[in-house]
Amino acid sequence: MTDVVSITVPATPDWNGVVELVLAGLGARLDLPYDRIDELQLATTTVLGDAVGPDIRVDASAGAESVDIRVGPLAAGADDAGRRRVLDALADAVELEPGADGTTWAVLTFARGGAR
Amino acid sequence: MASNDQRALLVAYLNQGDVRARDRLVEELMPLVRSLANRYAGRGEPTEDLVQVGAIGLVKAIDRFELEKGVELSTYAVPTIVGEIRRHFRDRTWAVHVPRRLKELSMRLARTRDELSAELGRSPTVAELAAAVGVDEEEAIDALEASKAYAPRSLDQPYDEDEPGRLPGLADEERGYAALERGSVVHQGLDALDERERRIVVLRFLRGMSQSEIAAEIGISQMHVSRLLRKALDAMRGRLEEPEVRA
Repeated sequence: MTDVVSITVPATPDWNGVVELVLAGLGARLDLPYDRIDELQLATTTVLGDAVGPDIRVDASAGAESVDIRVGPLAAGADDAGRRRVLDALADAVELEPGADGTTWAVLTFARGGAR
Repeated sequence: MASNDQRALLVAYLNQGDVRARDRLVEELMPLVRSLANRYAGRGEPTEDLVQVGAIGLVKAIDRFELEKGVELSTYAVPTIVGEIRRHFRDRTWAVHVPRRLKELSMRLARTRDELSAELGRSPTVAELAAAVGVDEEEAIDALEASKAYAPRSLDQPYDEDEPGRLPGLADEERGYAALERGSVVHQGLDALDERERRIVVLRFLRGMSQSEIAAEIGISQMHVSRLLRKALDAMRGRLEEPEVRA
């Protein structure tokens, strides 16, 4: 079974805390180690910095082995090499995929083990 | 100073209003204040700030001292000094208003997180943390999230006492990082960071060290590393939003 939690918030940093709170709740339900939850939040808020307004959506899918966080729509600069390096250090896999209207979406995958 | 001398100064101040006598008492008891402040060093606040807060507690203790009680001033003053330092941690180092209950729970969780990490050899889960401090998981999540409003220790303080202002081993790593990421927005954002922040960014994102490993290497708690990473990434984002950096 895959559990999905979705949230749509205004694309401004003021709402990052709400997204983090939702992710913390999800991580606790999945019994993730707290440092894993922390890095899941860090990676997601890093991606939120690339949001193109007015709203941004976060879909968190919990599978048996991993948690996928899909975030978008994002600006074209989301594939910046330096930011990618940050995300690669935090997540187990990072994919960028095209969305509607030429936007970009990021999919961050976190294994349901300890911190990397 | 002999206790008879202290008592004479207390009489001069409390009965006769001699402020110089009080100042002398403060001066004499400042080593006690420093000693108590040092017990709270390394918890996110500059020690000198804690000494100043403790000194306020000492003055309050002198003002409230009752000569007829027959106790030593130093004995009487300790709880007041410690209380003032603790109040400082509770009330003045949070970026936004957080209810005291959550602050206290947050501090207990921070201690428990470090203790359980050492005991288990891994980061504890929220359920384990909640059970250890006797609250439900939702309360634990509230407090853990609230702790992110806690202002991290000043990042300007010297890291290496033998070479103030410099971080051992940083220069080579930083050069490598700069070369690797030249032209990227993160490279531009590094300019917004101070040395300690850069050090932590390099250890986490270049060396691939975990937060626990960084905490052990730098000698701070894992939660503190988490806060500093957030602060560093926020600073980088803020820097990147400046028009001249984007241009």
